[in-house]
Amino acid sequence: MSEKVKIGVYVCHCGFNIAEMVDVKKVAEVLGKEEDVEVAKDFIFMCSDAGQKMIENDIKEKGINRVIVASCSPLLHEKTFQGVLERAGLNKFLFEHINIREQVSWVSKNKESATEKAIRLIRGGIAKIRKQQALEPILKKVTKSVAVIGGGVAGLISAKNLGEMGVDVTLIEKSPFIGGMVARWDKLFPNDENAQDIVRKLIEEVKDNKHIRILTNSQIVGGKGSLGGYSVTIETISRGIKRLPENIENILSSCPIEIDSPESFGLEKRKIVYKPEYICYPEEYAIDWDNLSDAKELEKYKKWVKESNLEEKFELEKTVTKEEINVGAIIFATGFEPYEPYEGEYGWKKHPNVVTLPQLIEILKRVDKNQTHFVYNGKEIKSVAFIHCVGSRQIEGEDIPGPDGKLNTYCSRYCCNATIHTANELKKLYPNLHVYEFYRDIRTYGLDDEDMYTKASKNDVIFLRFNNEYKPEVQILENEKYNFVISVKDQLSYYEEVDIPADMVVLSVGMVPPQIDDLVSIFTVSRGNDGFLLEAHPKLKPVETSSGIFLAGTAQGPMNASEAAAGATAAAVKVAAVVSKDELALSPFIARVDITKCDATGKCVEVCEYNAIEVTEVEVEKGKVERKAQVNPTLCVGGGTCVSACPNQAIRIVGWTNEQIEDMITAMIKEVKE
Amino acid sequence: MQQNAKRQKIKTKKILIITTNDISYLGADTAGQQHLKYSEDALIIRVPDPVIFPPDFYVRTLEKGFGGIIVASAGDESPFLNSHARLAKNIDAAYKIMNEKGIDTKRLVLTAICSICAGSFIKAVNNMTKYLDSVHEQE
Amino acid sequence: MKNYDALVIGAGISGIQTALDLAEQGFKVLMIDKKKSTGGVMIQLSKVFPTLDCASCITTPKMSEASNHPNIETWTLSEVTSISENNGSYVVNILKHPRYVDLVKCTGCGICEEVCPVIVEDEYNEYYGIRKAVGVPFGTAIPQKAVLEPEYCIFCGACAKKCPTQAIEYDQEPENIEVKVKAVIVATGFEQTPIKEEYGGGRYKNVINALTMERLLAPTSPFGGVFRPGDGKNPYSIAYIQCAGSRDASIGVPYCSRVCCMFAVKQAMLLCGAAPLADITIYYMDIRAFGKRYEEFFQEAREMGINFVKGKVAKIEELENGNLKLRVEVQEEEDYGVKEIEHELVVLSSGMLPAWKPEKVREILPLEIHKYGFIKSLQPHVNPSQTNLDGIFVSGTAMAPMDIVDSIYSGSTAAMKAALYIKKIKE
Repeated sequence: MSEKVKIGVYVCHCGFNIAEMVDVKKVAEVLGKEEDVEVAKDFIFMCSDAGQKMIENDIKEKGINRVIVASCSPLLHEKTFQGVLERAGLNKFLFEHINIREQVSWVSKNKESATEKAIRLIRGGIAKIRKQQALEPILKKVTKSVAVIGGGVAGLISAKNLGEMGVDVTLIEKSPFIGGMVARWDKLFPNDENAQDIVRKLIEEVKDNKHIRILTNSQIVGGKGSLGGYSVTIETISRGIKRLPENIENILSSCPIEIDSPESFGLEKRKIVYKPEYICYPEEYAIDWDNLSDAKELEKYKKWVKESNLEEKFELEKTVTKEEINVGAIIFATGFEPYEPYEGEYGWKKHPNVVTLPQLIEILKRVDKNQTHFVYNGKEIKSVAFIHCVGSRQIEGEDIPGPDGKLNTYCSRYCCNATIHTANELKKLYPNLHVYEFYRDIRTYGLDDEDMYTKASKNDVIFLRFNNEYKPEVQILENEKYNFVISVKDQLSYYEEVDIPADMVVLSVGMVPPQIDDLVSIFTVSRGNDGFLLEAHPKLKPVETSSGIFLAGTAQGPMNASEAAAGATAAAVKVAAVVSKDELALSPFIARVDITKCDATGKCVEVCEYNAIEVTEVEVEKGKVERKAQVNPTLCVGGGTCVSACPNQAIRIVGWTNEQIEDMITAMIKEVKE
Repeated sequence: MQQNAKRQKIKTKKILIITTNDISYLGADTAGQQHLKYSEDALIIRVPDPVIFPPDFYVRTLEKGFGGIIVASAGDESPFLNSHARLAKNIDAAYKIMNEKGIDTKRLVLTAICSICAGSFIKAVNNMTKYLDSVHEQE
Repeated sequence: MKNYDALVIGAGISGIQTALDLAEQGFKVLMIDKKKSTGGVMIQLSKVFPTLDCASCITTPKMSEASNHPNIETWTLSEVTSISENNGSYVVNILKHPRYVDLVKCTGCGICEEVCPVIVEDEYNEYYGIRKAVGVPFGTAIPQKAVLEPEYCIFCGACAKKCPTQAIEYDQEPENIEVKVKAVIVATGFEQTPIKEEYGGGRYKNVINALTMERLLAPTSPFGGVFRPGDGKNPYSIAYIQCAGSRDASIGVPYCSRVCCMFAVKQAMLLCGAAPLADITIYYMDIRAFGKRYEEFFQEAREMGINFVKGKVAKIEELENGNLKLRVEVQEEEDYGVKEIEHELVVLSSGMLPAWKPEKVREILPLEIHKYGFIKSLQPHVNPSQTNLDGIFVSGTAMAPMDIVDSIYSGSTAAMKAALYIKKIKE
């Protein structure tokens, strides 16, 4: 047997957080008498440098060889204290963290019973750590390349930064073009920077970087592995253009298949063979196979190709190629979609002049800038009404849930600024236009954003404030001077009911998460209540997820372009740190077979979802070979389905053996005596 | 059988809550961060996944003196593929043994708690507390 | 002359994040701060929105990780006196103020503090608590080492006599140290806007800044709870004045300070626990709960019964009993018009000003400054940390007001950009 077990128990006050509900002195006193406990101490902040030093000194001077800290959640400080053990030269896995804050002091009402509960939990820890053995992390070789999913600005920025760092990046975009949402905007708030220029420059930098490979029309359809090493299956769909006909525009005019163009947010129609008007890459036509998924439509398309003798030019059917790549890390830059109002929401779909903010931006791109009047659908627009918070900040009982039954309770962050910026733009183009904004709170929070708001007021944009319970009502008028009248109880004018005439209603729609269920399930990425991807912790690990995937930009939640850039760059720096290492130290908490008990029943192999176990010939003693189960340490995730499946109790999770836990339970139920 | 179960002596009102390291343990933490109160008799342990426990483990734990057990699985959020289904099978098998031994099956509950599900966590604990209180009074 | 890859000026949360992200890639970093401890303003906070994690529980692991990182060297009580470019590198002069305590010998045991007879106001507690002229700055300070302040010290010798390791050194001199670095990251942070004249200009005892309330709410509160500074009474009616130092051209701060809505909502929530009998009213113009989970947090606060009143507070008058009379232009349905409302304690949601003043910045570096005094980001949409100078990057609230989450993103962003720059220089 190795050296004598000497346990140090350290009980943290966490200021008052623990000490006001748990008698920490008593806890230390009672536990000091437990078998194998060499020291038991309490301290105001165990995580402080002084607290850490105290433990370090005890290890060095008193020969403590097992450490228990009872403090806040291990999520916050397990690593901190493991670091202490390492600095003191003790194996960091000889540490047990007991949570007496989130799971004792904060949830208890009675100090006496809370103290007893803390004692029981720590006794459990003592029982477990007593049988704990020194463990070494499993070293995993890092694949020094990265997959970035999504070719919007966030994906482009992540890829660009990593590429410039010399890391090989595969940028995977689902649609035939990279550029994303920002490519569709015009001028960005607050500094009027041209979105097209920004995206053009990014695309240039990314496509010229020899470390970056761009895959459009591509999706990840399968993947396995974990941080440091994934193998990922990518499916790429052909663009469908064999050779571009010279007179493509003429040819396309005969194409019978037309859809509402998603590129213009449904404002215009376009052909099934297309290329966006805004900046994108590659600047080559593609066939919109997604909108030919209906067999009838596909037949119609084929017929047209054949009849127009275009078989040499266009593919009749898409071809799908698959490839497998190996990467060390994956960044999700999967972006957002604009909220789609329900039919009738502020007149949506009931009148062509009810448009969304992205649509208005498209409309303004197309207007004749020499005109002194705003003309849309052939009629002069004299008054525009913006309605804020459409699809955002929804409140139970006051708003109608979406098709999934969920409310978008969150603020979409970009819309106040984008709306006011667009209102100012309108006033610049058409000084005589009446512009109204119906809002709940104006959230112009950036350093230059408030100036835009002030400018809008100076520009005579009229602001009307409503309460979510009494939303503005849009009434469509027939054959009258104006298309709409909008009634609202305006808080800024004594809650009087006011009627505002308008020719156009603009809905400032929020951001919603895109449909990426398949991707999310391949890599088991968590999502928050809002449906966006969930970071492991908003401050400690803001761009990391609990499954090892990294997040960039609006995949994580609403952000404006500048914030998405920061998020994407932050994700890149974290990934750069991973791939700059040759090896990652993985958790040693994986399955281990006790070959003296193993009968090679194969039950464990059957239940393992990760193909991490196989039954092979093992030399059990010199010259004697038997069939035994064997675990592959880089594939095993330590989930433990094999443990309860084994009829011989021959397989255990290292560091979490059933025997340790049975001991814990016995220790925890023991009476606590005064 | 039911008769037997009711007459059975439950030593303590102590509840063992088995959580998963990555998910349901955090659900319990979330309840703590929101300062939601629950019985001090509820003791939480964490494991990679409760699927590691064979069915007889639960029976042994009750026999050691725990009044009830809540197995807080990660449900669909589990990072381990298919573990919840296998865990459910283990729990079913445990119920079978409990029935054979005349132990009230209400003392073992399987539930799924997500990492932010403070509400459902509290509900599960309160239900078990209430149940154990009622059994206790009948003694 | 000592060489580093990067110098991070400021060891608040964004500076620490920058240092950590650079160090994790193998770059050698020198991080300096003029204060006695790292951790910036964040280490003073009670809890943070929207998770209500205790602030020091988030800050201390990062402070500790940085101070233990083999690639990071940290100097406190240090400031930059000059930066000059030299062949693609920067030569930086750093003034290290004397600590009067030997960092190596001091164990942070606290005996000097016990024996010191001089009581001074504690800046960590926003001058509401007290401490001694020598001692470890506060419980979670890093380094956990004593500092002696000669401006208060009476040189009685008590500490030097009692110090078990003879760490007190009265004769330490300021040091001027020259270092050579490839990149500089400015993470100099913010300071609160001063209290304006209409709100008493700092003379009313029961009108406090939000950062003071953070200290009162902290577990290490100087008063051991939330009491009125004026007379130690339990306040039963607490008012928050939003935009007390922001969105106000008359005080030269026309911009939004971005965090004040959320910290007021958070403090109000915490007060529901710390002062359960108090009525809490928040006077606001717009509630700007724009970040992830912020709006939900705000709605939770409304449900908890915190009173949100749309209205602008024009003036505060101090009454004889220490209460405050607020003149408010209220815009609520049941209550519209100019009102006079009395509260027992007023908390000002003060705004953010750059801590490193533009005129001081210009003495050291020809950095382009935004018209509101922050260091200007030249490429806000692609590369927010980019300044007008090659190799000089900006991080956190030195660039613009922002909350902790955004400061952390910003810190990581600056690290990525600095890493690329250093790599280019090295090649």
